[in-house]
Amino acid sequence: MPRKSVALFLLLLAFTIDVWGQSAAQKQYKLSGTVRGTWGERLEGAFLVVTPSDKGVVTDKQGRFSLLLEKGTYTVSCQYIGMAPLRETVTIEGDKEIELTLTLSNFKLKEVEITSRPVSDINATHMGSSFIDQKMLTRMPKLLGEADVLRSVSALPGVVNAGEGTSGFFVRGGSADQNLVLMDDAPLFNANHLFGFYSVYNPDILKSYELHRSGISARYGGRISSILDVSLRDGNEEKMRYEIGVSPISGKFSMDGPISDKFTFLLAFRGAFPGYIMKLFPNSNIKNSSGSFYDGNLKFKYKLDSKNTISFSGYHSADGFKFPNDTTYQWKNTLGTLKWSHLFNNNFTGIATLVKSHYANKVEGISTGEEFELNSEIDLTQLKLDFGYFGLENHQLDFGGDASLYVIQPGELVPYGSSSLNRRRLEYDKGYETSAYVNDEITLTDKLSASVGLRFSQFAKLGPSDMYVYAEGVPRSDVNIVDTLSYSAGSVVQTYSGLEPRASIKYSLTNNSSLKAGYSRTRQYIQLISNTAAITPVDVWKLSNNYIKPQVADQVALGYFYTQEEGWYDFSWEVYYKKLYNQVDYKDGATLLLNPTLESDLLFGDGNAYGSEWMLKKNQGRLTGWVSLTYSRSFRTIAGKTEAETINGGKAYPSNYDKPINLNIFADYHLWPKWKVTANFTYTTGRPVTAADSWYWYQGQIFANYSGRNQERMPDYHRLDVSLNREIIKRGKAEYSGSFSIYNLYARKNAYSMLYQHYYGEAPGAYKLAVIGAPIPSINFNVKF
Amino acid sequence: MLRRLLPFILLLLMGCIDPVDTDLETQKKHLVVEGYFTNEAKLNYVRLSYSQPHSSPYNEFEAKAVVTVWSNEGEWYLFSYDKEGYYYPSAGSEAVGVPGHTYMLNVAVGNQLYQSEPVIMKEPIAIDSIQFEIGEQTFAFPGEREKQLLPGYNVLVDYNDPAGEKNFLRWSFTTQYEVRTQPQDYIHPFTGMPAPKNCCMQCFLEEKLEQLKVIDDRLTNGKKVLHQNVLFMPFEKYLGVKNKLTVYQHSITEDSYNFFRILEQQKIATGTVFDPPPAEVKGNMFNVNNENEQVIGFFDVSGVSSKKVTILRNAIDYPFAPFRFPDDCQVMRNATKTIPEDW
Repeated sequence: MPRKSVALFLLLLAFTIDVWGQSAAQKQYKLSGTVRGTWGERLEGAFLVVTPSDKGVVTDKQGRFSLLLEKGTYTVSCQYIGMAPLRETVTIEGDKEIELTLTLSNFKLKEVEITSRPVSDINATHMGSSFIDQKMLTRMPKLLGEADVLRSVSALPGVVNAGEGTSGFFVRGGSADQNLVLMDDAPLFNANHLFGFYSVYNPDILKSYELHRSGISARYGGRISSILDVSLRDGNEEKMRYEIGVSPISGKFSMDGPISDKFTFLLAFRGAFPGYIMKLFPNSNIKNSSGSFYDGNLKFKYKLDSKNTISFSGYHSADGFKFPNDTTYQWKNTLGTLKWSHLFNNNFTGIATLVKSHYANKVEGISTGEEFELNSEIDLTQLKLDFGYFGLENHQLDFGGDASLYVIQPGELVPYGSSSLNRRRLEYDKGYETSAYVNDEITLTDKLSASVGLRFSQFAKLGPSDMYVYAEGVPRSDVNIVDTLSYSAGSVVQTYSGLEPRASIKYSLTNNSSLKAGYSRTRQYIQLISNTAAITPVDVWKLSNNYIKPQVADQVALGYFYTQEEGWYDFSWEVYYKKLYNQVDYKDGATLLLNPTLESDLLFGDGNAYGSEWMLKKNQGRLTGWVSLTYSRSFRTIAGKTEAETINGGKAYPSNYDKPINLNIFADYHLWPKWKVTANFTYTTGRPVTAADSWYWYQGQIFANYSGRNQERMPDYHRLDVSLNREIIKRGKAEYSGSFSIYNLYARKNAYSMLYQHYYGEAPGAYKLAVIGAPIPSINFNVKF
Repeated sequence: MLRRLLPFILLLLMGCIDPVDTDLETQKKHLVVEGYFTNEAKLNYVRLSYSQPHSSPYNEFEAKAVVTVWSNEGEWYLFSYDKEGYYYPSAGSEAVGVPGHTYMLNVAVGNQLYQSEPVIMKEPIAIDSIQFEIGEQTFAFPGEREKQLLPGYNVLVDYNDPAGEKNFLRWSFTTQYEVRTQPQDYIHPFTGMPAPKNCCMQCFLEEKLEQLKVIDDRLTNGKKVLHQNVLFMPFEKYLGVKNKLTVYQHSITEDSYNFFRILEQQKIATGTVFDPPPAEVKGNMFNVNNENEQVIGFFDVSGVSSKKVTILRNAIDYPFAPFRFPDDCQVMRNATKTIPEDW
């Protein structure tokens, strides 16, 4: 059965391609419509074939399709992975609009589910993107009982994680802040919970995510390395459903369903409380520390009529952790997306989206004489308009634009009690970013298709602002300020703008192999100022200004894609070269917190990165999974005007994200009828570090003498995780599922960082610090009813 | 400030530290200069040593250098070698700096001449008062491998930060204290049998304590600064009987502040996600003949104010076990039985 269905897909695909080659001779009418899933969600990439004409189409992002047919009666067959196939008879006498709803196929198509649309990869024009849906994610081994989006991202080709205890990830030699991380269209500024062991995405309500790393559509902008577009599912339209999940340190509850036939909702809540486990530790530092988080999602969807749908997705989270007797850290994320989808006519759709993302961070110190509260926040308001036009044969046109307003409070220090600190508040950092784009996916011949796009973005830094003018010829520093230019509220301090051309082209070599090439330019006007390798709660986001120029990346990529005749295996190979401009690095010992002359502690330069990514997937059989291998390099060159503003003598040096070899193996083995074992193995070359060439005494203490930057490497990173998953058990109305995972099975002590230490009686030496040094077992249990 | 508050995070994460191999081929030797010049004669010294490859546990000092400090105002002082790399102002030369003057350090080693950048001596800032607060801190006495959590006194200072200018401070200390040991409980190291000694149980020691800690007045400019924590002294050894502590408050330059700050940052870094990556600590010494040679260290010039306090065991309202040292107290480094004057 599975083999047959994949073969059928290929057949359909072949028809699709053939059909596009033909031209219409008789009077034709348009058949258009929307394909939806069980819960009413729009299905992208569903295959439709219409007999007797044997025409085929694939639905777009909105689940929309359209094709031209002569008068007559047809059978429309619709197929989507994981859904039961659907057949409907349609009589065409004029233009017609239909709606197709597919239902879950439950266990019938199990093997196919895992493949997560492998077939479309060779025929899609885009490249360098990976798609994972919820089913796939929940099979991956868990850490602390929770499948996690951000952790699974680093199992994809071209992605490496920033280290345990962080949720940052690096894509193709770019830094963690060069990834646009979205939740239902709303950008996130800190996607961490509990030191990165959890992320903001609740896996129970995840629909799917897609990571774009090259050939990025002109629809996306704002960051230069990648776009992680995560969608949560909407409430289902059939009946109320409830889901409860527990693991030793967390609990989850979600419910969704229809309120009326037009109105659905989804509500989810999650909390983690590792406190009682920490209390069990003998060490008083751990015992008296605490950490916790909770988050909640609320989604509404209201179908006004057949042409208008309004939906809302909201999210709120609060995190806190505390160390004994000194400092507490708290941060809150609040996101909201209000979306109005409108169908102008059968060929023309539009979506207006209003996005709000607010991130607030509070650090509180309670030591006597130093009591303080340090508050910082970032607020983003964004309006987006996206249109899709399908009226031109062989063209799929997307166009639109957006406008964003950023208001950042970089830091306000509020002393209290006996504190001898002065109250201090940095100026608000304000700016707006606007952009417009157009993207056309063109089917040129049955073998050749292209996606061509252009994006224009513009950024303005707004006052009130004091811009410092530094003396020429000496390193920028607050003692070298010669003038201060003051800008009043609302005035424009600095503007930047530029075009971002995007293009990708696909040429089918055979029915099951293709060559693709892509070029993209991306621009970024906001950066994370952080001197640590990962995103931490004390980091500051900063908009471009007179000194911090927008980051720009140019990328070219080439790829070969192959799917074996019967769909058992997929193979892909991509190579890329990237040039990065206006990259930020830091002076030795830079002061980043509450620093009004931040630019004087930053260094600017360029970077380049290149690499080759291979991926082999097995889609069917008892054993499924993939092997992905990446060879890549990433360099920075910081050659400032003075020696103090230069790193390594102005020569190229490996960036913090340079991990040449990255191997990921994911295997899913059907052990017994109801049990599956999955395993995930990761290997990466250690990241570059600044190493010491000798040790010395100073003031009676021993120090390491570091020289240069990033000239040596940490030990290699590798880890194996395994998971035993119980398939869903049905008992009456309830469905039970559970899994048992072990993270870091063979107890590898992977180095997070390297440091030099001295113990009495021994020569000073180099040591590595491992965040996790033991296997971490976890168990989780879910009930749906 | 914040970085200092974060060393515990990795404990939460069951972190662990293991040795890794160092690439010895890249190891190099550099001259290390530790130079201090103040308006208090006894605080002035220069120490010369060489940095060593990792794997070498030995110290190497430079004993044959010609060390001089001179000023733009025509002062000139010769420092002569004592031992263990230390050079002190030569006998008879009253090496006392004057705030406002600009000083330079010259070190001639063989045919190489090392020089510091000129450094101005800043006006000292007076200490208003010294207070003590009972606290606990992890601490390792010299010779101990592991730090242990000990009760002790946090030494806190109050001072008025002058408004209108940037000020940078660091602190150093001399402590004179009495110890009581247990020579009668001596165990012979070879036989493992008790071998009581008759002498001596009462000794006096004097120690210099240096602190890397530096602060700026970025957040406290022009305010009366209260309870600035500058030192931790465990009760056990230092405060068992009586202690005379002198606190020196050094008014240092911005460059010096940055040097010590990065040095301290490195010392407290534990490699966690919150720590900045380690970096080269750039000093103010250079080789006149070869500017590319890396010279480690700093010539620190500071205007110093001081304050002396006496602490008696009886005044400490905290129960702690007496100092345990089952041997002749004279075995302790720098210990003497001679009662100091004015004790």
